[in-house]
Amino acid sequence: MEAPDEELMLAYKTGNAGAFDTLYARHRTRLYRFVLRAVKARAVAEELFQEIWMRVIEARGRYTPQARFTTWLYTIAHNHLVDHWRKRGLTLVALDGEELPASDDPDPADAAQAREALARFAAALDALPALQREAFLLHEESGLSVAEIAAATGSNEEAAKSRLRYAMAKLKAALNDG
Amino acid sequence: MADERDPQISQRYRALGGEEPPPELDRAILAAARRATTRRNRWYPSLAAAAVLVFAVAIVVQVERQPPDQAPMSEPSPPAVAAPAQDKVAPQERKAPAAAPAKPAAGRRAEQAPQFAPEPAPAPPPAPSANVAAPAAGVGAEGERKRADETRAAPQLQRSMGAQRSAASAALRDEVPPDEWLTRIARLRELGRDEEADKELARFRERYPDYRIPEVMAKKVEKQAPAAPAR
Repeated sequence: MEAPDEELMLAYKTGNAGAFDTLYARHRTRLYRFVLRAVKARAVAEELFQEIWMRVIEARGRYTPQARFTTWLYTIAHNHLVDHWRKRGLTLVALDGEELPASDDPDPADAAQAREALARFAAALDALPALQREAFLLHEESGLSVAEIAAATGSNEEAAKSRLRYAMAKLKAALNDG
Repeated sequence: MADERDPQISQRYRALGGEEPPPELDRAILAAARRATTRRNRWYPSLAAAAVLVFAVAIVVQVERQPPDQAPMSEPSPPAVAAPAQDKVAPQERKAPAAAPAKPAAGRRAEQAPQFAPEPAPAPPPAPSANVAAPAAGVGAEGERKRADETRAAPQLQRSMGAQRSAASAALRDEVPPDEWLTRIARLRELGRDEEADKELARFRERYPDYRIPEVMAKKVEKQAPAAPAR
């Protein structure tokens, strides 16, 4: 049975570097995608991603498992994103240079259609207000519940639930457009 | 909240791609995490050493502050015999907490023995060594002061035991077990203070006329032909 995240973080807190390796391996991909889709620029995402983990390392001494480690991690991530958005005047960054992955569909026509559908979805996701997109990503990518989203973003559950519902509705509309 | 999920949206979201952080970023973060634990571990020995030091100082302070036993007052050797000269020997001879209640405290401070014996330690005492070793242990500054007071009061104490304080000291002296007294005499002998040792031995025999001095101890307390300290 794998050790829970909270146990690993406590082990790292007491100097077990191997515990951090495991923890990082578990969360690196999801956190990276969360940040990448939140800021939409790879270079910025990488910088933020590194800063978030550095913050985790620095804050290890104060870590107490009062909530899930995931919630704590994404709270740190949220705070970094907020700082990032503040620096950019709370404006959304366009989806410049974001390449969509090629489909495995062998039929060129179907492949083109799939790519278009995916592009529409990506555009819809991109067009979401930052807080709604964040709520969606926390839910979809990171597996946080509404309560955990509220905790990570410093809002209440009603607000988190509302943002998530708006985001889902807009994405659903983008899917149906095709 | 699983009920908020829409399978279609989830599927489409997954299709966006499986981006991963670049390996160099992974390496940098993991290296930073390891460096952080190394830095932390470097503090452990220092912290441990500091903690040990604090404990040691606390223990020393505690021992220093303990009220001295009544023991230092209870010595069999008469300060009147050679009052001025006794200052040098005082730490050795006067630690004589012969009174029974004082013994545990003296034994507790046995680790202070080095200040008692700057010279080579004497040969192990004979049979009743447990009783001898304990009182030979620590002595505090206050004890020294009390002994000085006693030294001043010694003449009266010897002659008449008139003064109340002298009387108390004499009472304590009478309680000194013979084996301790003999150990002190042996100590005087070791230090080459034969005259004092002779006097003390005479006093001892006067006080304990029926006491049979063990052979080993007799060699130490009685004057030998060429004074060879037992070492």
